[in-house]
Amino acid sequence: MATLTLDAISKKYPNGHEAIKHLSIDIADGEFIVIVGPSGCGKSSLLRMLAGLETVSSGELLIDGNRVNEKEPAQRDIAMVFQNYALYPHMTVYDNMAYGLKNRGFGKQEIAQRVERTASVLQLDHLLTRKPRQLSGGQRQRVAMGRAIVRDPKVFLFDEPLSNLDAKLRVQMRIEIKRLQRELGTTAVYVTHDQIEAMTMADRLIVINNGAAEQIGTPMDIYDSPQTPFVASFIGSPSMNFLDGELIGDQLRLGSESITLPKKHEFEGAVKVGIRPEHLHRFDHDQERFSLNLNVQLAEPLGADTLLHGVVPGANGADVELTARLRGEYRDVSDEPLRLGLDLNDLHLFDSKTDQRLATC
Amino acid sequence: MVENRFWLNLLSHLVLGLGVLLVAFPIWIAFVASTHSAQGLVSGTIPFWPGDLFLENFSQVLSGGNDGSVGVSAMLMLFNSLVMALGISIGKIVISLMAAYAIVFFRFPLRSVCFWIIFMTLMLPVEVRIMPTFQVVANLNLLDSYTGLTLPLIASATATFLLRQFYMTIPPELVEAARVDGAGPVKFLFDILLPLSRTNLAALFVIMFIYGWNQYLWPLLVTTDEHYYTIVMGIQRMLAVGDDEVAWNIVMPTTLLAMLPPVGVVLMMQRLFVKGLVETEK
Amino acid sequence: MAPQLLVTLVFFIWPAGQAVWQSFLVEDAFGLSTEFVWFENYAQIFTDSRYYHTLWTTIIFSAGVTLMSMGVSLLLAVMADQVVRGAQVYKTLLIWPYAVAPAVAGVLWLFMFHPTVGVLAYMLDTIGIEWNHFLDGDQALLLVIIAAAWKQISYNFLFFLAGLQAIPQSLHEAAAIDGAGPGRRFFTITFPLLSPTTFFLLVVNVVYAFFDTFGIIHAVTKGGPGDSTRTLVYNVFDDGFVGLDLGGSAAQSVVLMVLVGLMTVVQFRFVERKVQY
Repeated sequence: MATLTLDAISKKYPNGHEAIKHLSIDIADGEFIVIVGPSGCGKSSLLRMLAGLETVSSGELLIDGNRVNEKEPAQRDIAMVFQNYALYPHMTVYDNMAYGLKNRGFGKQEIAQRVERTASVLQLDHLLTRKPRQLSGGQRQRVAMGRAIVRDPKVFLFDEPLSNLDAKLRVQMRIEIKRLQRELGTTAVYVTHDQIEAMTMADRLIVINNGAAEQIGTPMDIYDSPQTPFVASFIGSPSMNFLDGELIGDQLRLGSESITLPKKHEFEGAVKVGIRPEHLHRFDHDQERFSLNLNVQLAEPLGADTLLHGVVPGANGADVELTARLRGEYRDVSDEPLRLGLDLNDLHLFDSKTDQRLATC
Repeated sequence: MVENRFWLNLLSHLVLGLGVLLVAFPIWIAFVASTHSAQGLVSGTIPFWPGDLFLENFSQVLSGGNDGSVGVSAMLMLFNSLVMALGISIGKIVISLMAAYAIVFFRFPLRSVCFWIIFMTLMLPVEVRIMPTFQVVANLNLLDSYTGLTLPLIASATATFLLRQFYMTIPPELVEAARVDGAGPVKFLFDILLPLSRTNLAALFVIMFIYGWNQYLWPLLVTTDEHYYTIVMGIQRMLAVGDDEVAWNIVMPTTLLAMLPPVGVVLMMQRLFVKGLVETEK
Repeated sequence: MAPQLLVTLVFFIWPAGQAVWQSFLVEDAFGLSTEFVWFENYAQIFTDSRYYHTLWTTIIFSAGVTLMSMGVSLLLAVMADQVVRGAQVYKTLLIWPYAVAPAVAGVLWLFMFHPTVGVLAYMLDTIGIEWNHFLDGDQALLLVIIAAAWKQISYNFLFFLAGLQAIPQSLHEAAAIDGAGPGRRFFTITFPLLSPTTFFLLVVNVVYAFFDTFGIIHAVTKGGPGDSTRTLVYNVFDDGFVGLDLGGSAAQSVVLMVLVGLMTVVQFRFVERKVQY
């Protein structure tokens, strides 16, 4: 158990590529941090720096208040679960879990106790004498987890550990990892590109884009008030819709319409208007102050909800693509556009030039 | 096959049978020759079936006390061949193992220079550089010694290259997992890499053993003392008499003996050997 | 790392360097005087009609060995790939000549074709062909080609079989559905897909015929009769150790090294490419 402090961490490769730019965060003891971002954003580099598999170019890395920049991975007391598990193919499940303990000079008895305890937690008891190739994907994943847990390290590092599993198993393991981490109370840093994993598992999220942290916060924080259009479109599924508009006083011009906003902004000019698909609903004449006419092109029934894909008339008469998520079934077969309504408090406004969220006053 | 045609199948078996015969025919003849007397072989009618002198000829060859031999017993020559083959194969593997390990897993200055120096040796079969190599060995006073027989053949670009190819298929994450688990370079080599390359090493061993055992020109040059003769070159020495005096009933058993160990190794380790040969060289 | 480099330096690089150096020298037979002559040795090689004859012999020899052993191996491999049962047995029965030393293979065939004691020479005699490779240069060349090809059959067979087995069964089935019979399938599907293996083996076999067959030639014909089986490698040996023309032999070594270098580059360009897909 430990705190983890990143102070202006940067990673610059010899070829000049800057993978991580001045990233700082204080991670509390027992916290579950998820680093999320598109592939190539630098999130893996960041995790590998924490592990000690890559050097830190500048900034300071502290585990429990001690600087570990120069320490070998083995000396940092961290454990890592790799994307392809990296189990030693020639060792049994037992030996895979015991290997790190052996190298640390634990006694035979202690090793046996720990491995057996961990195995029973992960329901691996009956597999201890098998070799990795005799295991299913889910079982391998568990062994990789076991190898991390058995060491009782200060920090768990996860590098997209679920991406090789099928969808059903992924949901199951996601819950299991989260529960285990809660029980053990071990600080964890988890890298993924899957925003559902990010939302469901994290105590706090770091959304990374091009090597920089775009936003750090709790999942709901980030969902409710994303600081940039990137974060807004990355978190939430299906992605947020964006329309171009203009803000003058409390009037938002959107296409040919002008809407009076409930909140005031200290900003005038071009804005990006973000609308989450799930915030749109069928237009209700009594309450709405705002409506959109969606020309539905395709309906995807999900069961409880239906996704509608289509276009709405944008500025200058050009069509803008838009997705809406409506409750229940969609059975409208007319050629008429569908009128959609929205609570104006659910609008997200971003400065078109700086891509920053507009503060209300 | 798509259609299970009787005749096609029969034809295949027929052709394969002929192939097996073609491959085995020389051995049969050699075996037949080893069971007859010298007179029986040169008297004009060539026997096609084995005679009854099998044991006599073989014991004569093994003990070496006969007119056709080169002064030492086949036993000693077999032993010399074994020393040479083992020396070369084990030496090659140990050296290549370390070289490939260093090339793949460590960054050090002149790494690529080292690699290319080793790689260049691949381009030079012994036969091509035989004269100067001989002079070097002569200058180092290594003629007529086991060291002289083995050492110059030990550096092997082939083995290094094959092991390098194999090491490069090891996922980097496995190396990292070992680092996180606290295994240093030496521990990694012995705990992870060696057990993983067991099959490759076994296959390499077979290939290198055969290479070493079958050396011909090199032992011919560096040995003048018959106590260092290997069996393959010993046969040549037996032939290097006047054409009419060649004791075929002695040469042929020696030939069979010379083939036996490497053929035995190949057949015993067939699966590994085939896998290693076909998979690594391609 | 270090040991490999050391051995390489002492036994490979140093000799190679010496070969290059010596190729610029002329030494008398007793090693008493040495003279630096620049490219005279090379000039001599390339104006020597005997050297061209040797080169020609080597080319015929290599072509013969390569075609004969690859042809037989391909036939056997195709058949072994066809049979439903027993492929493994045939494999075992066919691979062992790989382990036979070239020199030993040479002696085996020498014995069978021996004019006075050989079974095959006797058989040829009964059908009216007079066989005596001690006198007839063409027969001598044919003999060493057969011996060299025989030894190489197993190697080629293994690679061809592996190559054949790597072709997905579904392709054969698709071709059969498209109406191609077995023969047509072989030439339109199997053979083209096998071409990487074939090319690889072509290079390997030529290298083998050029360099690894020294033992066969030395044990069977010693380059004779006349110069009829004298190949380039044999020439290096003979000029150096028998003729004691160190400079000339060294110059030939250098020429050969360049040749091997070229072939290796071709081979490994190919290997690297294979690795990529």
